[in-house]
Amino acid sequence: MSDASRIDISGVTKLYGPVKAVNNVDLVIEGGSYCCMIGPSGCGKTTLLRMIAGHEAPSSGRIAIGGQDVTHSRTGSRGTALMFQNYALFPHLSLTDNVAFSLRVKGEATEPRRAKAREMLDRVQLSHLADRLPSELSGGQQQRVALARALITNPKVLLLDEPLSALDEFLRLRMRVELKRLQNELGITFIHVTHTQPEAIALADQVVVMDHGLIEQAASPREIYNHPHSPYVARFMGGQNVLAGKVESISGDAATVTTADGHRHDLPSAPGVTPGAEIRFSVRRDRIHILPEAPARNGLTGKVINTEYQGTFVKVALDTGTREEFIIYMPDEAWFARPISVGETIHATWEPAASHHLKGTNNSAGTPLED
Amino acid sequence: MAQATHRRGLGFYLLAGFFALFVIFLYGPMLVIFILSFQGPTGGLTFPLRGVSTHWFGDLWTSTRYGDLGGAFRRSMILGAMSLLITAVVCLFAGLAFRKRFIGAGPLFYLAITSLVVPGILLGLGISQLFQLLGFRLNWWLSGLGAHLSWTLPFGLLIMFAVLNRFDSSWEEAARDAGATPSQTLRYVTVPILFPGLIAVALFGFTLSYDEMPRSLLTVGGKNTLPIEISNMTTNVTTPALYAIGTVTSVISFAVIAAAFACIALIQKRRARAKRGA
Amino acid sequence: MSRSSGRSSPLTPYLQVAPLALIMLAMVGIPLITVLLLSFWQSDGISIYPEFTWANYQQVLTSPVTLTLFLNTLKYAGLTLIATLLIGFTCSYFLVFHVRNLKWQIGLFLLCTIPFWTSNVIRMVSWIPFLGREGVFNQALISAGVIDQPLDILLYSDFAVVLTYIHLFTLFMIVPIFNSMAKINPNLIEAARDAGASGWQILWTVIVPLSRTGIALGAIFVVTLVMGDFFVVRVMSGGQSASVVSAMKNQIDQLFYPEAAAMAVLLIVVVLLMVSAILRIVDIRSELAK
Repeated sequence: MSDASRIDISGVTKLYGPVKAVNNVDLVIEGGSYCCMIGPSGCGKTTLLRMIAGHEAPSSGRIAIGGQDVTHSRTGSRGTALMFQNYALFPHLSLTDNVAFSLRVKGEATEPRRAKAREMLDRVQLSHLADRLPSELSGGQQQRVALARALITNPKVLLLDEPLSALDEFLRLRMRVELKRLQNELGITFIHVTHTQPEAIALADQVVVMDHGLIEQAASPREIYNHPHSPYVARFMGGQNVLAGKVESISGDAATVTTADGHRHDLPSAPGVTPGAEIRFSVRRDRIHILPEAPARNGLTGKVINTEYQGTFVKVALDTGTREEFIIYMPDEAWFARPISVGETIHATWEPAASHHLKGTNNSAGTPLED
Repeated sequence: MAQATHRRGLGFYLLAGFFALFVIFLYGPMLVIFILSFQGPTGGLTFPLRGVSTHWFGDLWTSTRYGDLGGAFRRSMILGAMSLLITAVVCLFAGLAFRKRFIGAGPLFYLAITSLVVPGILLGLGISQLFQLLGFRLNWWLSGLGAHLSWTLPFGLLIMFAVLNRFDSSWEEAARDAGATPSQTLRYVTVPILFPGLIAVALFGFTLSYDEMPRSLLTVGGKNTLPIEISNMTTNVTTPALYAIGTVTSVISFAVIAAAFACIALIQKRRARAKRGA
Repeated sequence: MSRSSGRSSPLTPYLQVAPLALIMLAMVGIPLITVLLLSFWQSDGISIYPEFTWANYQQVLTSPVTLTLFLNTLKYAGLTLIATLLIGFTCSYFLVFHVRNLKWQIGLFLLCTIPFWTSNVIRMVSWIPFLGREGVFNQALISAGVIDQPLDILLYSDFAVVLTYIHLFTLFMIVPIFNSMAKINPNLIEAARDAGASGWQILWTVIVPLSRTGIALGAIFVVTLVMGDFFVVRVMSGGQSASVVSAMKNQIDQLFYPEAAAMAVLLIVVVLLMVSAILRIVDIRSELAK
């Protein structure tokens, strides 16, 4: 199964007039894995998904599924099934007929295809609503029908276009679990487009972060989260502060960096940098401690501009003289032991291991664009 | 709505009164001719009613004074039916095409709008002179039909735009994704979903053609349609037979409207019944 | 994202739109060009010669009748426009902002539009028993003691013509204005009321500006319909008044096709000028795209 549902994308570009929606993308998605594509609106993730589904043709490049070139094969004949963002359930057909649709167009007789459809509805726990119309269903139920309709074709690859975005918070978390369970059960490849970071981190075996038609980083969630490739990835995925400085000295792979305000920082691993180079590095927000005095190295000083209680931790925002806020996630006991008020100046420090050199150059803000 | 919490003030009753007057203004005169068409045999064009009879309806059938009403009625029905069919089919596909960009979309749209705003008789003049220049004979089923289509198609197209506004093209993509061919997508998805809207387009196709007069006048050739016959009657018939033919043709129009609305209601009811899980 | 359908052939829209394009070209585009050509050709009242001449325009433009006809037509259009606008706006306002039940709102709206699907000729004829010397109106006024003698100006007069126009064309005003008004977010009105605006202020500063697309569309419909009519003028004025198109119809009846065509071209120019003036005030296309 796993090889049959492996996807190879090589050199794929999609032009809309002069605009490169997808720009020379290479990507391998292992068969049977759960892949999340993430990025702000307009980053090309949906276009890439639609090219895999065959709803758009690449301007150049090659897409193969299970080793078979499907770049120009017809939609619906390449072993993919797409679940649409708004589900696109046929409003004039009952749930059974919605799910049986692909069997109908293949010419299967009415009774056997309805029986199969009801079986599939049973699988998503909706058999009791089999004769209803989609308009009578809740959002969560509609989504399960859309899943059933996609899965009845026995696809090698299930493509999901922002499948959870139309649901409320509670349902979203529940469906997230269900999607993951389903994927484990079926063992086929899931490609899930989203713009919500926790969704990607929670579900994926492989996270693909995109920006401006390019893949910034494709790796496991842990790798993406701990070792972001560029300032953009660090900011977009969250949980990191991005700092900039000049390399002062190197020894082996380690480097010492000085920021504009004169603080010195140790980067345990920054291969390939040269003294004098301007580089950026990230610091995990939850690895930072507060000190009574300014630390000698690996720390900084700033004025508290905001504090936000988050339940298990407190988010403290510092103004450090740069344009970017410096955020500290403080354990709630530490915060309540010594509350910090807005306007106070505090000192922060962290272990060198919490610092990570950002090799990539994409320095964009990384906040998801509004639609 | 928050408005619902306000009490109905004087303004509401004044406006309601105005609206009621407007409705009377709209329907009153028609009601009067419906009543007067049942004049007794000695009755005239105005009140009082001298008895109640269906004399003038019978007169329409039997008298030769009114020209070829039967033939005109038959031609108008056939033209209406042809316009209905052509308008529904042509506008469906044109509406689908206008969702995409294509060369000439703008000029074609403006040509359609031009056809709506240009005086009908002028277009009739153009069509009839074009036919004569090309050496074709004017015929109600060719030049006449063309003139009717120049009126029904732009309307149908505008209705189709409104109908397609609520049509989500991801339904078609979902069908393709399930492996449907273009013709299967059209038959199983696009047409069934659009069907109530298509009935509305067809309704326009029929009634606009059935009642069309200025464009027909110069284009139907020797054989007249019903509205032309009736408009001739307005100048040379001075008996309630004029009202009788008015009643007949209005009843047909209303019957067609009612049938169209009933069709739409039936479809929606059927879908609603499916909803209840029957 | 993109609405492109990916796999379908780029030829598809052309095939789909071809029937419409062919019919519109054959039955609208080319006939209009024919009228334009005809207006430059010669005729002797029996046949037409395809030889270029300015004579038709010369005749139309120098004739004092032309100006009278145009002024008369514009008078009808102006009076009808004002009346239909007032009635159409008031009725739409009532339906949108005072009828709260959606079913009632749609029902009453349909009530206003159903006559559109019936014969204009019959709707015009239906005024004859109302307005005549022996008509319902005069009878009612006499029995009420308002007048002693029946009024003659009711039928076969400019009054009858304009009244019939109002009767026939008001719904072309109601439909677009109703559509524009129905799109107004009720919160805007509440916000205006919160800000202390009176009913009239809300009407003038919120509702009228936001209904302007509908008003403009309705105005275009009404003006072009009135200016294109010949039948109502001919019958309801009893032959005493004429409009541009009714005069044109007379020329056609006398087989003076080229003169009629020249008049038609002139009329189209005037109508287009008026429509573009309306469009200059309100940019309908960008408003409709919203």
